[in-house]
Amino acid sequence: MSRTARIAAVGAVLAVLLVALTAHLLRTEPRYSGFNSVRPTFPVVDLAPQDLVCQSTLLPGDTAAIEVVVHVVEQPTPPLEVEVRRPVAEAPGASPARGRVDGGYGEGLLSIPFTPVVDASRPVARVCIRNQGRANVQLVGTSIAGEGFAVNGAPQPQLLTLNFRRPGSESTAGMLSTIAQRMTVARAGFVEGWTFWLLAAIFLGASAVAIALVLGKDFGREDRS
Amino acid sequence: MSALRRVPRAAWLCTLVAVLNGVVWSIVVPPLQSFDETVHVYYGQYLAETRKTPRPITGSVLSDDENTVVYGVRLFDVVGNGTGRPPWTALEDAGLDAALAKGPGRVSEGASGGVGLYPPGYYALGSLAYLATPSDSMLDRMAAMRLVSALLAGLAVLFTFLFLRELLPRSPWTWTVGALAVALQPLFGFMSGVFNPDMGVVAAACAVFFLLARAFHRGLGLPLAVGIGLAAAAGVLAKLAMVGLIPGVLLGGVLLAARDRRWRPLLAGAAAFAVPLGLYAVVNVTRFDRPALPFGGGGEAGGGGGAVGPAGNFREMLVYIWQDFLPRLPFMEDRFSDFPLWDRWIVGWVGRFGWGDYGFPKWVSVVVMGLLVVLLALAVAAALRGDRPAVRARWREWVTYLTMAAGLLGLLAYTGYTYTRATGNGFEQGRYLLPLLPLYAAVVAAGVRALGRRAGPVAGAALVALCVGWSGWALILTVERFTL
Repeated sequence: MSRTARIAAVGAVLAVLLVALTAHLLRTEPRYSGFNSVRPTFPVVDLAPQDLVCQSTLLPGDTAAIEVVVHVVEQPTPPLEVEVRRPVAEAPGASPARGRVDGGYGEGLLSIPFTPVVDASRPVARVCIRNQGRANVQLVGTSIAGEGFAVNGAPQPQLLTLNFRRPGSESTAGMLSTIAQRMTVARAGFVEGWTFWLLAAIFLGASAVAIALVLGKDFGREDRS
Repeated sequence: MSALRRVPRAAWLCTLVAVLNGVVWSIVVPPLQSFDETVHVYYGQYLAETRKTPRPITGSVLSDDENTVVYGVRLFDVVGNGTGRPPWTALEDAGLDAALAKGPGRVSEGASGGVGLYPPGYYALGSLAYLATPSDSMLDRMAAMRLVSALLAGLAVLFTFLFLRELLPRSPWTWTVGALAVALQPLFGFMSGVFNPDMGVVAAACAVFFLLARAFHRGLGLPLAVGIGLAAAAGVLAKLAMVGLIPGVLLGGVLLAARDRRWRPLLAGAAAFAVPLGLYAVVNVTRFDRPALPFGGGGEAGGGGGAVGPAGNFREMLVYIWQDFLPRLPFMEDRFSDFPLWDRWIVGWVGRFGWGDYGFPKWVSVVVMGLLVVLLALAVAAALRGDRPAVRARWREWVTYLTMAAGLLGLLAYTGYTYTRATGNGFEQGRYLLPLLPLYAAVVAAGVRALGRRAGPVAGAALVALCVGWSGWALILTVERFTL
């Protein structure tokens, strides 16, 4: 078989890869603005009707919903209300962001949207969740020494797992510039926003070298000497 | 220089692919987000700052400088936590920079941390990168240290190419296919972008495979024998896991000497191996205040350290070693809750990344291993139906490579037994198999060659394109694990 066959075979593989990559890049779904990275180890609070759990946290910008991990203990699960407040000293008189989710949700991740969207990162925000129904529900997190977590005003050595969601849904392709920015955080000093694109170019360049090697006109020739 | 000039251009290009791939991985993987990188960076920094190695003593391990990074990147909130991510906000970035700018201490008490008996070869290279970094930021220095692995990855691929040239001298195109299969293997790429002495062993092992193949092909001359001895010693000085290959290397040397009826090169090779290790033993005692022979308990030098630990029950050990790679027999007690050959070694080798907490879907392992089995079957079938006397005449070579592989697997299984016994933790990880990459390359190269002069190059070219996709997918998984 000739070089043409090799080009066709490599082209076919690369075409399949390109289709898969394109489909992946175009996949649209809700995306995260951040995580508090607390391990969802076990339920840390059993919220009875009207109970209020509050937690201090860094709140990333572009956040439109709080995501908690729910452990269902009674059906139907109750509606939950969320309030996100900046410290009074930082923003005196500012009204909190509020949101709500209806009851009837299941076990696992639960997103509670709120308005207005938090536009910029806040080093300290207070996230409070109140049980507005008639059944108990448990929220998951882990035990940890520290401050900032309270149930009905009583501090406890625990933390909730909190994930932060961006508004709406976005494609992976639409997130690329955000990914590039995130890749600069807590990295070596030379890593800037453009580095991600440079890395992509280097990988593509290296791949092009590899492909060129196997498509060369001498490739496939046996040494009969 | 003339020897370098005889290296084909394709070999240098394959090397370039490996180095570039390693550089990409070194930046894509967030700081410390790879197997045990905390303690390896600690060793490199300690060596650079004090000119001494960590020791098996109690005391502090990581420097305040490194601990600042550990907490700044939320390392232990992220490892093993699917909803854990490193910092994403400028606030956290500024916080870490400010903490590092306070100049936290760079030297701890130099306690073990699990690497107190590790040899210093690889770390010496890392400490050079550390010292050569113009900035004194720990993040910058860690990035520089990772580049050592990228360069060693280039060496590994270069030696793999040359190994294949000796193995399949009449099919130059297969050298490129095999070397690129290694350069684009995702776990190899990942490891070539992080600071880990495994890469020292991998590069040394590839060099030994190449030099042995050359000796089998062209005779064991003095320079080759010395080269084999030095490469093997370099591997041992990088990480004790290299010891697993030594019985096979020794056997190969003896078989070569007997075949060629020349024993002097074998003695020279043995001396080239022993002298650096002897010097190391002296330095261990006189300068590093460590035992001359660096073998410790299973827990002490875990992580594939190749350490000899408490022996325990002999039968229990044999059962463990058997089940590490083979199905349990009816009369054996069950030592594992899974099937380690598949669930740990193969799935891990196909692609588990970070601290082993993310990787490809399981079906990818099925596809990859399916392809490799087909290629192996093709290679064996071609050897059996081809020039049988020529294949048989190379029996010494095949026995040597198989002994090297068996030696490494045996050492890994034994270390796994002692490590698990000492710590209760699982040991097996696919990365420990990376020193056998030349054999993987050989299976790929011989397999596509077996498809014949017409179909072989087409299959080889398509395979390289698939490897590009495999490698790229691993990078996407990594980017998304930490930044999406």
